[in-house]
Amino acid sequence: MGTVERCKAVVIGSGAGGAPVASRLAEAWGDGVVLLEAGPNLQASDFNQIEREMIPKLYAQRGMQATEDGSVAVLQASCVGGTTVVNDALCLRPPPELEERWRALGAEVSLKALAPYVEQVEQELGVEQVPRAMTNRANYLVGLGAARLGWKGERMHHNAPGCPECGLRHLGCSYDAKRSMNVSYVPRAVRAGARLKSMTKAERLVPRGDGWRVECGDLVLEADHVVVAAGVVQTPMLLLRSGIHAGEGFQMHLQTLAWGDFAEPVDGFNGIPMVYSVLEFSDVYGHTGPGFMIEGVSTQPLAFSTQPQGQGEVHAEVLRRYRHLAGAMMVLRASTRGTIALGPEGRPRIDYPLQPHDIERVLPFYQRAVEMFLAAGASRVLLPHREANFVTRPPADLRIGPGWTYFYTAHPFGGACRGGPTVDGVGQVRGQRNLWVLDASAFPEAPGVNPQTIICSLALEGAERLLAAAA
Amino acid sequence: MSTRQGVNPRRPLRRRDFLKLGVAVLAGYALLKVGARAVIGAKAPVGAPLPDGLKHLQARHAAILSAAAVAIVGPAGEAAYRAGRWQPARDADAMIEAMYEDQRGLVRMALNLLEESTWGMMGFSGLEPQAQQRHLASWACSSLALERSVWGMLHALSCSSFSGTSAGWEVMGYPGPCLKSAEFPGRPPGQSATFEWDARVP
Ligand SMILES: Cc1cc2nc3c(=O)[nH]c(=O)nc-3n(C[C@H](O)[C@H](O)[C@H](O)COP(=O)(O)OP(=O)(O)OC[C@H]3O[C@@H](n4cnc5c(N)ncnc54)[C@H](O)[C@@H]3O)c2cc1C
Repeated sequence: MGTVERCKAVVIGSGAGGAPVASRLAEAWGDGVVLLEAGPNLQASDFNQIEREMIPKLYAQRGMQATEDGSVAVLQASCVGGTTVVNDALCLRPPPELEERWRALGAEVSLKALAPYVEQVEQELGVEQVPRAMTNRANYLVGLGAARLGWKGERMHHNAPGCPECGLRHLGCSYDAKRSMNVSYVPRAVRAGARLKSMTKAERLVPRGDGWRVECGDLVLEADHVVVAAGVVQTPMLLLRSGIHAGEGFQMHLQTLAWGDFAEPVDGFNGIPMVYSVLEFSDVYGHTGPGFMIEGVSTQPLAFSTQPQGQGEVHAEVLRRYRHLAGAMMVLRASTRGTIALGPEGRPRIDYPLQPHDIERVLPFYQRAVEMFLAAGASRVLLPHREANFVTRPPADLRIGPGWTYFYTAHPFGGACRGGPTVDGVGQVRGQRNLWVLDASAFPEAPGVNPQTIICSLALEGAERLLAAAA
Repeated sequence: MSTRQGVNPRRPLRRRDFLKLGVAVLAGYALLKVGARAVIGAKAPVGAPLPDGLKHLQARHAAILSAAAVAIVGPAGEAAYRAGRWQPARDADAMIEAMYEDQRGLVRMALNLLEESTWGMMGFSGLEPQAQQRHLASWACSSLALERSVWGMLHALSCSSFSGTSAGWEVMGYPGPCLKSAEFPGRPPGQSATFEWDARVP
């Protein structure tokens, strides 16, 4: 027989959704709040900046999580602070278009009501625009190409003031300069009394009167309120294991890359990996493009080497040119809806049948990226495509689809969408008492911008609603 | 002699006979091939011995995977493999550890499939390097989604494994992490704005 602990509220998951909720609830209920995290509680000194050691420690399924057909890598982290520990620290405000789009899908969202929470989040995370002086050459070249073509763009905002610019944000910050959840809202929650339990996975939720039993192996928590914020894949998985309908409406920002090859070394591995964004082709912030952002991006050797799709001599050439490459990433507001289901051995089964409307918008990204880098002075552009690698002009045609081009997502959404079959318009699980979903899995649709500020703000607003309902 | 069961040498061969003959030849060939491959076994590329103590890959799978990895990563990978500075089978085994059992089964099946998919007596791992390159390239751009996805898996395993080693870093010109340690001297972080800024860039 395991241990049974009583508490007022359990928050499951300590990422962008869970940490702010735990912090707000702990301000009201102190040590009555338990924050559960399946992953380890790592400190700055644990982040040793070595990819082959940190990726398996930090990322879900050692970084190998993917859709069922293997065609899209799904990147998430599992540790105290969640995916914010490995993220690029970019903090973008909710775009005005989001309100109408989400309301049409049944989510109750008002950007006016959300504004004070956005402000709180930006303050807690120390958000500032990345200064020019902290822009590395790789990102500058993206900005230069865009400016020469007259495309709109900007240096983005980040939550890492005083960043020493080591370039290793994807492996956790060794300097505690990035104000990810593990150094912001989680400590804040703990200071307010919350009990943090790392390496503790919620296996199942069982109704108990008006509250819940949260089963975590040997530990059982009995709580009046439960907030599920286990991230896009694991939130629906936990609900499904608990016999609650979930897993529909899985979406993402579909991502792929292109790299300009410059005569001089660019050394993108050094400096802040992502700074510059091209807004011209997005369909947010008043733009009416096809729906993708182009963001400057640099990656460390291990992650980079899996992205271009050549072999033998071609791969050898890719590796030789590493220091000369400046990267750009597509962030496509994809409309394909997939599902998350319980697979064999209880593993997540992520089905994502990419739809023509999304496939059609990938080639234009490659074309624009090639134009942009050539305008910035690149001699050629590397594409992560099986049939085209180094190109000297925009490709007129390319086969796009599973197994032809490298796709990934660092921004999955849905699976327990607000206004959908699982969750109501504000995040309460339908047909259940005192059970909330307040993370990216409650997004009814991909927002079109890097999502952490939106996730944190909606989580704070949701926590306020929960407190009001509890009172 | 009755001609019922066999081919009558005096009667011209009909289409059906051709088909029968074709099937028989193919079946015989396949048997011969399987037999020959059982004798030859999977062949690891020449280099340091395959690592022992692997948890999920049998020696056969480790050999096939190493052959594919060396072919995919190319010349630099081959040199590092020969020098014992890169062991793709060991890294792959560690990655497979994080998979679920059905996914592990798929990896082993994919390796078997690759080995058995060649023409001739020799399995994939026994082919000459150039033939291995051609074979893998045909899978990378195959019209069969299965072959493309096996190539994708092998590419990811091989490239991530090589570029995580110091041998890979040398080829890429990556100076290593910023943190100083016994293993790494540490590089100075930041190099930003050491270039001229075009006023048009916001
Ligand atoms: C490489 C990368 C770069 C990114 N860069 C940016 C960026 O620059 N800007 C931006 O806005 N966004 C970025 N993102 C995305 C952003 O970080 C995520 O969208 C966000 O963190 C998701 O928040 P979440 O709360 O939904 O889930 P997560 O932050 O993933 O947190 C979920 C947590 O729940 C835990 N958990 C799961 N199951 C259980 C369980 N059963 N019991 C207990 N705990 C559990 C997990 O271990 C995890 O720690 C990036 C993502 C990646 C992968």
